[in-house]
Amino acid sequence: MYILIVEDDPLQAELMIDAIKTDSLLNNARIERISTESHFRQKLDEIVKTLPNVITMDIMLRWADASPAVDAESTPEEVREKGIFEAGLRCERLLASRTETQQVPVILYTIVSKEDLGESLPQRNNLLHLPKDSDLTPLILAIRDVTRT
Amino acid sequence: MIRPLLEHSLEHDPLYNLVATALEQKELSGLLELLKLLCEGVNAYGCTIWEVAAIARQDLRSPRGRVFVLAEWFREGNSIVIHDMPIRESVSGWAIVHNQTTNIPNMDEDPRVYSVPVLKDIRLKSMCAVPLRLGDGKGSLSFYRKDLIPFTEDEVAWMEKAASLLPGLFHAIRSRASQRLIQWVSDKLNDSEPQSSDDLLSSDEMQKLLHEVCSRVAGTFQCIESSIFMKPIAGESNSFVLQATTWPKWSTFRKQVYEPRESEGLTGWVLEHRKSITIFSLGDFERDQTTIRRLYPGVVWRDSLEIKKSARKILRLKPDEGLQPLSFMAAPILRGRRILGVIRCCAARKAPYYFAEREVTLLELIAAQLSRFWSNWLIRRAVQEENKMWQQLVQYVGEWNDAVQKQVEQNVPDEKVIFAEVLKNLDRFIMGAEISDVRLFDEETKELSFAVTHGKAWSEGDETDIKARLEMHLRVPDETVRFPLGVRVFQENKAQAILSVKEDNYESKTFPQTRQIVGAPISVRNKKMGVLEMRNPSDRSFPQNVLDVAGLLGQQLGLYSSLIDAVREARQAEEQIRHQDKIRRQTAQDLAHQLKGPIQQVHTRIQALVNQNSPEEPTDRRLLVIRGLIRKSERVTRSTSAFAELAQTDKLELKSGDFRRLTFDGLVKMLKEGCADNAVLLEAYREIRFEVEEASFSILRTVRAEVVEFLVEQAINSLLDNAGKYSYPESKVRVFGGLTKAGRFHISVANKGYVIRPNEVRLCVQREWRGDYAQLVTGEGSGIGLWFVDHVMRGHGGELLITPRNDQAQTQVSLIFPLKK
Repeated sequence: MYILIVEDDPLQAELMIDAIKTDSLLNNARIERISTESHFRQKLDEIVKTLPNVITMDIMLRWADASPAVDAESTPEEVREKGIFEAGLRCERLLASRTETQQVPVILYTIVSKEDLGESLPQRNNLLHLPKDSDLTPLILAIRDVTRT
Repeated sequence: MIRPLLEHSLEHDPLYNLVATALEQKELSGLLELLKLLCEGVNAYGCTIWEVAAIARQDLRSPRGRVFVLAEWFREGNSIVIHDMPIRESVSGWAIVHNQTTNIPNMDEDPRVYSVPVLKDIRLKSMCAVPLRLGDGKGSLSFYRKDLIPFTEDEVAWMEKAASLLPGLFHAIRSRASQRLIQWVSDKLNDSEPQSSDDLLSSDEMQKLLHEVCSRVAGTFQCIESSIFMKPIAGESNSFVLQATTWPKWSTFRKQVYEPRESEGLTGWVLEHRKSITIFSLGDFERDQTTIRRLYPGVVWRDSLEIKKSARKILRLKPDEGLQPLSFMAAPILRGRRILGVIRCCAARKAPYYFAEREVTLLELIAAQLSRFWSNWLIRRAVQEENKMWQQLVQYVGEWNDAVQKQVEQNVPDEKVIFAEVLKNLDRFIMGAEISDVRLFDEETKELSFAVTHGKAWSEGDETDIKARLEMHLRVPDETVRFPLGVRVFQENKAQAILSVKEDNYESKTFPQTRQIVGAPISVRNKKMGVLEMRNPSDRSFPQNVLDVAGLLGQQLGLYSSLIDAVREARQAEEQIRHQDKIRRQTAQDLAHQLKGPIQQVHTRIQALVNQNSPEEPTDRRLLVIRGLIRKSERVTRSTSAFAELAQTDKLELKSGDFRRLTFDGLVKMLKEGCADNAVLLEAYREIRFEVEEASFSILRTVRAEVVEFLVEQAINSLLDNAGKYSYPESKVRVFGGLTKAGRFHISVANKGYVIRPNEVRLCVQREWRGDYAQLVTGEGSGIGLWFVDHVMRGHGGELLITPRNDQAQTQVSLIFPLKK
């Protein structure tokens, strides 16, 4: 079992990883975390090859960590225009654009409600929207469900 | 055939026939019919009416006195070969001088007979000359026979009777011909009056009509040349242009345009003095010029037709044939005192060869009719052109409005497109507006600079010329100036014109070929935006109402410009509102996100702590994380409240009772906890460390700074939060303090990472502003952090100072507090 967590808040990611590791059915899963959109794009080919069993995707993601390599000119225009607020949706579209990853279940684990997303929320069979909550049980159950564990 | 008169009854009375014949004549050529009857009445071979030249009228005995042929008729198609003789050397002259019928039975034996034969191949033998009066002039009726058969007394008596009747009969013929001519001209002009504005004669039709008039006049007076010169337009031009002529070839007209000046010749004299002129014989002009100049002071003759040579050619005279008299008359065409043109006649082909007073008067009557007709035509034409122009203008305004509509629909509407559209069509309804431009006023530089130009002339000349023309900015000084025209128009907010640019040193420099220039302000009510300029290089003047039209165009352009400005401003405002709205929504969303996350996590972590989940994680760390999250929540909550409050008041009001002394211990604790709280929230893999340089704050033991603690804590944590986000991996965030050079206390946070750009320093304390870099690397962030800190510091009477240091790849942010004494 391979679970990919796309989450830019380290503390939130920590909680999610803890919850998975302490779940009796998921505790043996290999967990990887991606914290920025640029990192996700860099790793996309690898994701396509390794095909996670499930991906949890935050919607509001920063583009990159501060570093000398980051500059606005080399950032894709859609990122500069729309900013962090649709980062996760952009990543989801990239997954959907590749045949291999179209069937990979994606859980949009986010503070942004369905109503706020509106028509931006993609309509796909393997896509689930789940609001972030202090209780991580719904997340665990959702992971179990989509991976048929 | 007419038999000798004495043998017949009244109805066959030759005199009766003479009168009857005269009354039948409708044209001047009818005089020859009379002469024919006279000859046949006395069996003469031919007869001639000799008239004394005008110059000699006062003094018949003058050695310069001559008699000229007024009319002649000879049998067998013969024609007289001489056209004048000295009075004192001829029988006819002698008869006139002595006012006595002179019968010469044998011309060979009388010394008074003129030595030059009258006819070419026939020698006349006997003659009889009877004096007669011709209006103001004197003359003789001379009969000739080629046989040596003297005229009898009865015949002479008859001749004398005929001579007494002849002037009257001639007068009757002349009158009849005159009346017919006047009637014809009147009818012709009346028939040509338009019934409606569509019937108005075109310029070509008018010329054709005038040609018909000239032809009729020439036919009546039997002259080679009848010409009409008119001022083509009621404008500034002072030239009178040939409109019609019966002269065989226009191309031989050396002078087709006259100015109203004596120096131009006879026609110029008439135009200048507005009086008729008649010259007995142009051939004798030089000889008679003293008398002529006494009658017409200042007159000169330019011989524009080279009349003698041309007339010989037209009349097909042989070299040995004498040239007939070349009589000339011209009458001004006046409208009140205003001169509109001139009609002239020259060189009668056939007898009578001279223009008498009657002919001049007749010409003046025709001129009067032409004056009325021409004036009306010019007025109607001007009205028609003006109407057409207004119609076209209305049509173009419709097209321009469409263009404006299209521009309004653009994202960034541009009034220059509209201006170009207007200039493109200008010369279609303002004749002559071939070179045009719009200049707009710049409030800052106080200059009128080109926005749009139109016309080939702008691109003519070499590069230097073009550049010089297009870069000519007109400065608008505070005082009113006379030149350039564009500046004056702008200052006075009124359309104005220069109708003779060559006399204006300034305007003629831009385009030397310009003849006229019109300028109109582009304005709406009292708001002035620029000027519209139109330059006319053509020979034709601007229409009379050009100032009205220009003024209207200026207002129209002002309206368009205003409209485009308003649309642009509305779009910009709309865009700004949309942008601000978007930012507000994002700010609200972000604040909610910043708040929700920590709150949820705190809950989960406390739960985990209670349940002893993740036992391998140190409890201290877990507590630190919880504290970090709680403090972050507090910070976000306070920011949200402050955002709401400051959005209303724009100033943080701090109560003096809330201020406490900032102590060394308190500050160091605050800083250390802040560093720990922020460090725990960062990605561990970035390895960013926080370090508090405690010793730098020891000055607090000796100085007094008073602060509102929770706000300062908020501000410090905001700086630490930023430092953490913008630091490059494996770097250190330094926290230090001390006194500034100005003696104030500072707390500074310096980090190595992205260095804020100098132009962003001012921006980053503005509400909701986030730089491009910040948006990429921070994820969440409302853009109100430093804005809030700035307000906190102002509330403390201090300041927030941001110091980028590019050389060290470092940004230092300082909170500077005033010290209490």
